[in-house]
Amino acid sequence: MKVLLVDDHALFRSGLRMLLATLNRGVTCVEAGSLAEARARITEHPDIDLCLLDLALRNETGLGVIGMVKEAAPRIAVVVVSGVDEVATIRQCIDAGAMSFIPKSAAPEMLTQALRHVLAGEVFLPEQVATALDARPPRASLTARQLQVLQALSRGLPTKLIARELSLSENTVKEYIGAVLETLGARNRTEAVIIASRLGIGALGAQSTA
Amino acid sequence: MRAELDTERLIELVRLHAQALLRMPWVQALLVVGIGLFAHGYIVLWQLSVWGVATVSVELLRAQAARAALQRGDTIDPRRAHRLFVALAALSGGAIGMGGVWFLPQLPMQPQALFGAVLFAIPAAGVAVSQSSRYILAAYALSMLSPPAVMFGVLHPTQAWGIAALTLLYCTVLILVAADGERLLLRSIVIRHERDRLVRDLEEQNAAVEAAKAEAEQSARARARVLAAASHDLRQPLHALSVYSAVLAANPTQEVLQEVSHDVDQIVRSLGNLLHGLLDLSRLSAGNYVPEREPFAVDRVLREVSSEFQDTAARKGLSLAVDLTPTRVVGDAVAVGRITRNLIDNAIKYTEAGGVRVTLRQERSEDGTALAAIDVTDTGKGIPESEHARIFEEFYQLDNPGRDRNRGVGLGLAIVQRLCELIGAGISLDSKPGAGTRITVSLRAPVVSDIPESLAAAAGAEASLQGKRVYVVDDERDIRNSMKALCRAWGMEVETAESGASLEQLFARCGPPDLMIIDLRLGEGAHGAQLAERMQSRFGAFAVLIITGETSSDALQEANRSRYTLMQKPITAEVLRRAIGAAVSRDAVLPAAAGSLPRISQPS
Repeated sequence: MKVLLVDDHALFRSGLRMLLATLNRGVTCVEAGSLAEARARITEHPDIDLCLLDLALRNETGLGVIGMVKEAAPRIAVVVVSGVDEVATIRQCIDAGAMSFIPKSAAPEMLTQALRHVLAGEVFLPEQVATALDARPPRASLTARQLQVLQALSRGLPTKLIARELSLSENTVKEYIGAVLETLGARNRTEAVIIASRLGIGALGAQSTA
Repeated sequence: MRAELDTERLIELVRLHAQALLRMPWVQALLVVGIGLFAHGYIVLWQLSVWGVATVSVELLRAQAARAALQRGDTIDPRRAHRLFVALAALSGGAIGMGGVWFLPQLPMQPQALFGAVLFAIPAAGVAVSQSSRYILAAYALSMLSPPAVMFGVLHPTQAWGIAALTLLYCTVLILVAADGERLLLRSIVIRHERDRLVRDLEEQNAAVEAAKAEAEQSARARARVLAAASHDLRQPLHALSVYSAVLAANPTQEVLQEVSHDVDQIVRSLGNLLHGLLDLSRLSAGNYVPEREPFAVDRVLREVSSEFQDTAARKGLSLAVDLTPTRVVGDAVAVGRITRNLIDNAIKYTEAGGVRVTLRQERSEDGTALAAIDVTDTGKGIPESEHARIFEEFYQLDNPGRDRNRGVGLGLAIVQRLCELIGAGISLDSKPGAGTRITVSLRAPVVSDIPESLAAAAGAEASLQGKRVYVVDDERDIRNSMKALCRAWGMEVETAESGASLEQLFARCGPPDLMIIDLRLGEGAHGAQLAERMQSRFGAFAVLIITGETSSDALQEANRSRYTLMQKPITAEVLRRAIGAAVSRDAVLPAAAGSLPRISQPS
């Protein structure tokens, strides 16, 4: 599994790389200190699965950086690792296509746990985000296919790419998405991701497991 | 003040009078028509017409002069204009009065009296027109009333004296009234001044309040900016520490441990620097810092500060040159040292090739006083014009995207600027991308020549070290290097040796020095005092200073037996200087008598 670390603080990157290596020997890290470097790494390594991304880079700051990474490589699951930990910002990150959010201010054991989830392809969000949304238990369990769609949805994939990945037609995917949202009681993708994180759903993605 | 007020009053008066004069042709024409109506039965029309045309023409002339005066506005010479108006008033009054001379004899008694009354009433109106100028009114009234009064006297000789007296009295009263008016005008001008001053004062106070408010807002913004930057920069290393802590908790391998400890060390250092920098800055900002005002040798401070950086510069392959004009000023030596230290530190950090140069020169102030100015010039990459204003901001770092903490925390120049403000020094920047950077600190402290005794003594000692040859013998490289830098800073020629063998080679190559500074314990059991004795017996006399880190009394006693001056580590630069000065200035045959120098045997 290949992970791209994007953070302008070299020492933080290096710590994160070590932590990932201790958690999972199969992880290879590539690092970038700026968005330009990140684009270059993405071109060099088309097989990057996951991107741990800081929102505050030297010259680019804010939610835009998520969009820029998604634009460069829509398949990469973006996990925001940020010093900001306001619920609003976290939701906006998910709106912008991020799959998970790890606050840098989290306690060491929390960081480890979050990274374990993320490496396993699961959605991770800080507890306060999940509790902020009044999520009801799902009305029914999801089918295997629906779980795959939810997983792809969590990774921020557009319908077209989900269709290609699952070898389905776009219309079928849209139907699946509708069904997933209804089952979870979510109004949109963001809520679906939040609920997924709360229910620990999403680990079935074939790509994201190392 | 009085003269100014008078001038202003005159300007005001001329202006008001000129405005009134603009209307006078119409008034005069009405007067002519009125007199014509009641007098045409007695006086031939052509005579009336000649008088009417003449008087109206004079008023037209006055109106013309008034218009010209008004157009000149403030550029007018009020005294000249006033004289002109006085003359014109006399002309106008005369022209009207001549009517009396001409018509009175032709009129029967009753109209005569009426005409006289009209003539006497006109100057009363003139008080208003003259705008209370005594002179204009006097010229107008006297020249108007005198001729008809004389004619009246001729026509009625029995009443001549009475009429003359009444006319004079009347004119006097009019002039007194005018004088009152003049005072009133003056007073109104004074009041206007008072009002203007109050308004100005108010505006000034307002401006001061506004400025204070703006300053407070700006400083609040600056504080907020510093706080935001500080919290970001303090949090970043904390976040990193938290990750490393997670790594440690996850049972890392031995090699990871090494990496972790190295990185954690870096993080802790940078956190420390950051906190120290912030605390320094806040101490400087809090207004608690009181700058020293003592005479000191700026060149000496700069030389010592520069010598601290010789090693750092050398490790980076940079030259660090000094060019110092001996200069003494009254000021804060510690602040100047700190400023220079930060500037050199910064210059070395941002220079990859070439070098850094520290220059001390004297510049002339506007009044010709000699002032000290320090330049720190580097051959680094330079700073774009657009960034010049920002480099002194807290946490600003040029081109350090990774916020690599080895390149500092971005507080050095902010501290420099704050210190410069505190000691009243000016700071300026001359830099272009690719052309290096020069930062100039103008101390704005006058160069002093009368040096207090202690400094003069130090200067004497300094001069006596100039050109002296010294050998530094120590087995530790860092000590050799710092001693070398220090002695060089004092103008000495320095050679070093790290062992007995290399010392012998040095003596064989260069002969004996003026002074040898030698460690008591060199590596491999070599003994400093014994080495010194051996060299003296082979190469003749030279001064010796023995330095030791030993604290055990046995070792010290042993060293004391060696007849040489012994110095206990740590040794401050100042103490070392004094010791060297004493050692090399002693002309007596060596070895030196022990105890001639204050012995430093207390580890401090």
